[in-house]
Amino acid sequence: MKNLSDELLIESYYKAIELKLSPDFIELIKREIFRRSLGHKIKLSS
Amino acid sequence: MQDRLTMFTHNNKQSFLLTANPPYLLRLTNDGYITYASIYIHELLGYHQNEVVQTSFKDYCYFRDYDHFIQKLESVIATNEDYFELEMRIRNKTGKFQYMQVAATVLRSSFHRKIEGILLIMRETTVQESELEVLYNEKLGQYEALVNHLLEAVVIVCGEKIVFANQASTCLFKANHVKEIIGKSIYDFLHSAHYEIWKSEYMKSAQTVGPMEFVWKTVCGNTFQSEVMIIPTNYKGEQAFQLLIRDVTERKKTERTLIEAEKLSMAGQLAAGIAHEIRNPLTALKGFLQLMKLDLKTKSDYWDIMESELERIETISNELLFLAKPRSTELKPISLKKLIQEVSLLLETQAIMHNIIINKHFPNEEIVIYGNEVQIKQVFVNLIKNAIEVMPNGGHIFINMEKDGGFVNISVIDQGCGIPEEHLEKIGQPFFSTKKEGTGLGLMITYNIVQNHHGTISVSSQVNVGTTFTITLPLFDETQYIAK
Repeated sequence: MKNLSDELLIESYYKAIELKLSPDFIELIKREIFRRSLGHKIKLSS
Repeated sequence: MQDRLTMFTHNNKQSFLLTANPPYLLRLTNDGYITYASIYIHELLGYHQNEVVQTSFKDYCYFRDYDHFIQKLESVIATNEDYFELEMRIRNKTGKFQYMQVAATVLRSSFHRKIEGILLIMRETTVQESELEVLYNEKLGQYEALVNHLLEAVVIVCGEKIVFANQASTCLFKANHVKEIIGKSIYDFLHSAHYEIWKSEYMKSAQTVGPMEFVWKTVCGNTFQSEVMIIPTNYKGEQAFQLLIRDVTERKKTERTLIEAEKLSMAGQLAAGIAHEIRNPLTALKGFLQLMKLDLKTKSDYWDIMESELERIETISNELLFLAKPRSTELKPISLKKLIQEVSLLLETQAIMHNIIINKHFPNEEIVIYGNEVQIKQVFVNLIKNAIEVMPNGGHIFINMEKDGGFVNISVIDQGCGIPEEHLEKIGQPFFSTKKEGTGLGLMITYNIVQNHHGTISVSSQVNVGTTFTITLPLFDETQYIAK
């Protein structure tokens, strides 16, 4: 997960939501997004 | 002289003198010559009264007893006292030594208390001896009863023949009567695995050995486990061994059940840890896989993630496997110095890459422990690897070894970041790690192995100074080894 680029991470997040993937998985990605202090990116756009 | 006699008959402590009747008296000069013997001396020793006068008292005494007599006399004179008693062997006319109770009184002149001679009053000690015999027989009876009714089996083995067995041993060997045991060879009962031991080491030892674990066969051929004390003794003048045998089959069974229970709870603990620890990598794998289904052509990054997560699962499962692997039974004496040398050689390249120097301080003598070589190696690989990993900026690792009684202490000291106090307790618990990529299993395995080798492990740490792991292991004990 740590090797993923920021862009790809955000993209993955949206795709996961779109495809209604496992909430655990979405939570995992979300956690990594916040860890990288990218939380504003998903909050702004949602 | 009559005055003297009356004087000490008034003195209570010489009570036995009153029973010395008729009075067997000897008077000696200061240098030990007999100047007077009462007529009754003939009755006691067979010498005529005149025969002994002018001869040395020394000639009638057993030499050791005479030395003893002189010693006592000198100490009495030195303290300005007059009287002492002792038991001596005196030779009678037939040349045999006879035990005599002798009361000696230093005769002094009333003027200046100058020593004028020594008066000896003798009494046979046969009466006392017979008293002793009664006492002895009484005690013997008590011990016989004790041994016979003891709940523990007692067997006396002379050569290889069983010459005595108590009541409890019939129970143990499932015999109907002690006659079924007494007279037989010990090899009829001892398990063949112990023949060598019985033949070699213990037949020579003059010390009590044990408790040792022996397996025995009963009369009907079943086996049972026991703890045995081997006590060297004599049987009718020949060297023999007294064996105290305690049946420990039940205890072993309980111990095994306990260990099984422990294992189960351990497995449960592990399973909980695994479930928790493996879920995250699995979730990531599953999620990214589902994403990949959409566009297989691009996003090769997903592959890398999957690979690293898979690797993580792999390491965890590998370490778990190591933990769960049935303990190899290949136990043998291990030279610890050589083993650590090998391990540090193995890790030297890794250490040099991190600019780390490994310093070893070993005692000159050989240090041998008993155990599984692979596992002990694993312990030191884990500890030294940990030490290397906490020192990314280089430094020194110290490996010190010292003997401490029947144990050996090995310390692995690093100069890393140290472990905060609140984490120290958790060291060795499953899945606790201070390392980013750590699985938290390495040290747990280390703890397990050390415990299985009857050792202990302790940690002390100071943040930003370093951490010391000290392992204490019992030294290899040859006698125990033979017993096993």
